Amino acid sequence: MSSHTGWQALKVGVIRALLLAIPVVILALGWGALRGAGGQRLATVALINIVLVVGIQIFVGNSGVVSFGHVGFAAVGAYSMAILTSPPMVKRARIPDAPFGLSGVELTVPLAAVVSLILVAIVGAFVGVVVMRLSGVSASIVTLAFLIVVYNVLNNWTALTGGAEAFYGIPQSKSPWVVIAIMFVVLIVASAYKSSATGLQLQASREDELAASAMGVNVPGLRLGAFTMSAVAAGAAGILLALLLGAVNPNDFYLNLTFITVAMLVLGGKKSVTGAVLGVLVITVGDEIFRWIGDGPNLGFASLPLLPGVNGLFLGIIIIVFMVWRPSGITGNWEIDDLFRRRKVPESAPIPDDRDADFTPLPLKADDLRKNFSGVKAVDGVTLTVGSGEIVGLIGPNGAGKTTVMNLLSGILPPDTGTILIGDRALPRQLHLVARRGVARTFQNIRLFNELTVAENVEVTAHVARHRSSRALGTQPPRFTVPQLLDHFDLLPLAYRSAGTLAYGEQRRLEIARAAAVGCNVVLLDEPVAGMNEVESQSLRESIRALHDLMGAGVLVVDHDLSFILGLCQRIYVLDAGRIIAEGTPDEIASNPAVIEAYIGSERT
Amino acid sequence: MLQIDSLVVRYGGIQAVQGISLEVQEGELVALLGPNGAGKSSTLNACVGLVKPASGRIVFEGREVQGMKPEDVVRLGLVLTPEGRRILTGLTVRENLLLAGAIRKDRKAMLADLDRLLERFPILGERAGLAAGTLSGGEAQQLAIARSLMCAPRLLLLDEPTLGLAPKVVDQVFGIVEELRAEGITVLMVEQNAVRALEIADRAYVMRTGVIVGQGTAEELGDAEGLISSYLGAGS
Amino acid sequence: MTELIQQIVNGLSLGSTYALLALGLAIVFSIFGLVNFAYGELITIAAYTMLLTSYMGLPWTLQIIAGVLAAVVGSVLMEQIAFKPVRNADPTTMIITSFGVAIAIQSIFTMTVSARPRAVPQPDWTATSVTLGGIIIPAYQILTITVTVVALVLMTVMLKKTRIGLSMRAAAEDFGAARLLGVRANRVVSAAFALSGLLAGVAAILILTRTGGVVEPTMGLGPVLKAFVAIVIGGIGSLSGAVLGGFILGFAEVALRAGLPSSVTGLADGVLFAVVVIIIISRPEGILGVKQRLRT
Repeated sequence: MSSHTGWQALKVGVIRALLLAIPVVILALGWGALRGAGGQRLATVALINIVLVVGIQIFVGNSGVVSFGHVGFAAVGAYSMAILTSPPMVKRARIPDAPFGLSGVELTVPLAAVVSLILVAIVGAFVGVVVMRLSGVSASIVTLAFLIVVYNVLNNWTALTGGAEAFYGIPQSKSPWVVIAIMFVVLIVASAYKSSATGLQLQASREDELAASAMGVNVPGLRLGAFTMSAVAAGAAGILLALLLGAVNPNDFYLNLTFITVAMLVLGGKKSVTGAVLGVLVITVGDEIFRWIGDGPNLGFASLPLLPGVNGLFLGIIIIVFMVWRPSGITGNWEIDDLFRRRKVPESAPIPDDRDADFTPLPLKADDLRKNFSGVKAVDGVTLTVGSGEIVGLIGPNGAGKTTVMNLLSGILPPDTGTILIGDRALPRQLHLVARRGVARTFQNIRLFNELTVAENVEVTAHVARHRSSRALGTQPPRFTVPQLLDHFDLLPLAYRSAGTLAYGEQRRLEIARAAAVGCNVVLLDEPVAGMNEVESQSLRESIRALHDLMGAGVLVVDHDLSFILGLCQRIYVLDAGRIIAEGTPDEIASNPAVIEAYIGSERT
Repeated sequence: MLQIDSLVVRYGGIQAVQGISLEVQEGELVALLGPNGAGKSSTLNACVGLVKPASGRIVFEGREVQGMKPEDVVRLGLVLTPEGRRILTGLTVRENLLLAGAIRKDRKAMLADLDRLLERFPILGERAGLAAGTLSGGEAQQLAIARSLMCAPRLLLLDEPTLGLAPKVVDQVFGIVEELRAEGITVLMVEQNAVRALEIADRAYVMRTGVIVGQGTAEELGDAEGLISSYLGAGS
Repeated sequence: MTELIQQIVNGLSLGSTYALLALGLAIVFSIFGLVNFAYGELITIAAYTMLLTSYMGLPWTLQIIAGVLAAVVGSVLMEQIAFKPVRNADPTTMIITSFGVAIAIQSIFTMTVSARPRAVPQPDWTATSVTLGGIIIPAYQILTITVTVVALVLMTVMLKKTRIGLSMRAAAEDFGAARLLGVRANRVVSAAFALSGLLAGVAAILILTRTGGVVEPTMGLGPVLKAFVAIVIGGIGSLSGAVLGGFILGFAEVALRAGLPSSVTGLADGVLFAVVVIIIISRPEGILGVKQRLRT
């Protein structure tokens, strides 16, 4: 059901790359044959643009962070190639004072390409370290700043780059086959990465960064990896462009190329490799048509006036129209191989009876937690325990501090003072390590990975559970396949639905299943029955029992719904104004006057 | 004065309000009670255009207001004091009030009202020139209510006016609400503190999971026991 | 000493332009949540309008009035046509949209005028200078500093004392709460774009006096990138931060140009953008520590 093992991902990658590359190559070679040298050049540039745009897609599509800086990596690759391969004679005239004695160096094209790619990888990793901690507009501005820095250096570090004028002397290679080979490799890498478990985890962070981290996804680490990989692909495109042109120029690698690649990605669909390829084809054709119009063609019966720049207007309008009308591009998340894929849902996937019963969940202990928000004591000395396998309730009126306690226990917020232990070890400080320690949660406002399928939502945490070190856990919890997990929570028939399209109750159930796959010690449920009627909350109660039944994990349910908590939990804490005001069995809590008062209010003080 | 008929509010797949109907007569103080997540705030937000109802009608003084923009609803005299107060902390206390008064045509009367409010809420008078961000929770709630009054409300919607306030301040806020009612302002109040709200309200509706499960006067709704069971559902 | 004062005046003059630009960018961001990459094109629109009116033989004063008006109208139209439909989209969608707007406008000028630079004749006095105790102050610098001071004072008065200014400040802080109090969303957004265009138009006049009136389709790019830097320094979304960020940027640029070895002075911009990156990582709220305010 899940195509997320390495080999399967590679298989998907090769199939998709073939399905995309074959028509593209036929088009390119055909166009070249029909239109002579000019046509061949245009076709080769389009192929190189596929390398560049698919390369950008690896990062942008999977992480959801838009980069305006990848053309900078193409520039680094191209200039590195130029400096390493051009004959020393040219360099002594052009850059006599190059640092590191570079003016005397001359490498063969393959060796120079390897060195250039390594250089791009280093620069990419360096920029990636900055970008990985940022999201949204900040990240985009940093990538734009990188592009400007590269452009500035190319123009002004004259001793190394020769400055603003073109740098000639690169051994030219006009054969399209090298470009085709590289394009094929990049297509495989991008497609396989998208289908891999690693890619899936990064896509989870694209859908919801906080939820992904809380489910054990190392978001910065994955972003760094994808960014570097995608920088190298962009660098390869730069190298190919340098070899095609035989000369490089800072203006070749600045905003014009950035604009056109952004347009290609946006039009095709940034979440899809197929979309990236389609975007390049459509924009290339469109750009050519508008260039032709702009050149004032003679139509036989009339000559059109010169309209230089009309192709730029076309690009700009395409970008605006797609952002307004269809921000996910032509393809959205669709890939070409989806045409041929038949998705079968297994009838059932029962969990075998002889599963490993040795596992004992660790208890969660919180001692004297305090948290202030600009002077307001949201949590004011909370001590609580969730014993091994115990189902515990935490109730309290609106504003009591329940959500803050939840955020402290799940590692989303650090407490001002106080300790949280899992077993006898402190809760890790990094959010994604908390889930790896077997503590997972759901969210009050449901935070699923909406555009991923139901199966993929669970696969994200199942993958984390498979790959965490048993040292962090003490003992090894039982392992389940994704179909087993889905079947256990009655989600199997929904496996291939997008999570965002599920009904409310199903979304809650999926969120519990997702947390259950990784939360072998304690699962924290934040207001799971908010907004549910009696029937729905009855069904949710069964999901919670299923969760408890799966690995025997402890459960902490935070809710304001007293009847629900009374019917479900073994022990209950009552929180009011940031403090625990009562603790006991359901019977004790139901008859405690302080609880009633906290709930429906008191008489006049 | 206000009639809500079969109102449905959805967020994504969640049906927060599931076809409720209620009514507020001129001069009444009506409480809308119920546990967290019952759909009370969603109901108020739908009245003032902050959320668009999926279906149903909201009629204020003979005009259908569902789907209108918030800035147009407030001009009709249907004014919400939102949950969490949402005072503009970067503006001064006086500027908060002036902003609210800006919708009124008669500027002289508006300025007179401003002076009256600054007298009525002395703490606001003292702090008129200071940034509203320097106010404490209770003071900020007074500002939020005063600000709504500057809009010349015909019907005032109060969303959780006592949330997060210390018990003493809660008393003060309930005192203000009682005064408003004495002045003849019609009020629909969402409140968690059901016992206190029933003390001052003429009537109440009790909501739970998006539907109205009880309504009537404090006597009709019964003692605390009965209220608890409507709060907590049939299960307890 | 004279050298130092000279450089301070240079920094003040450069910083003034940046402050105006950054303020225009920040106003729209604070209310609309848009980092408007096409802001630079408002400068281009103003400059080409001055070019057109100079061809028509209008006097300079009428040229600059026409230029500023064109930038205001252009800004408001930009919002109506391109940004209104993406008002509730995520910030990345908005910034890409503004990219599209920028390319489209640049292309229109390439199509209708030329990709090559043209010159708007500047009044002779802008090329003169005043000598004060050994310090030479070009007239355009005096103009720039004076205009900026006047513009900033007027802006402050407008924001503090007028009804629309009050509405704009309220909307920048909490758009929803402002609407509940009757602030008209469309009107405030249009006002923010109009003001943003006004500032871009004024900045365009100052830029032309400095460069001797050179106009070209891509002329907005440099200024908008500098304005980006300034608002990042000042803390994205803060108006006073943007102004201060503009001045800091102006002084930093003058200091870098004076301090860097002559062979690499061109790298000054590269250094500045690297600084931006460092600021974004270490203090996302800007070095002034102004808390970032985003739309709710």
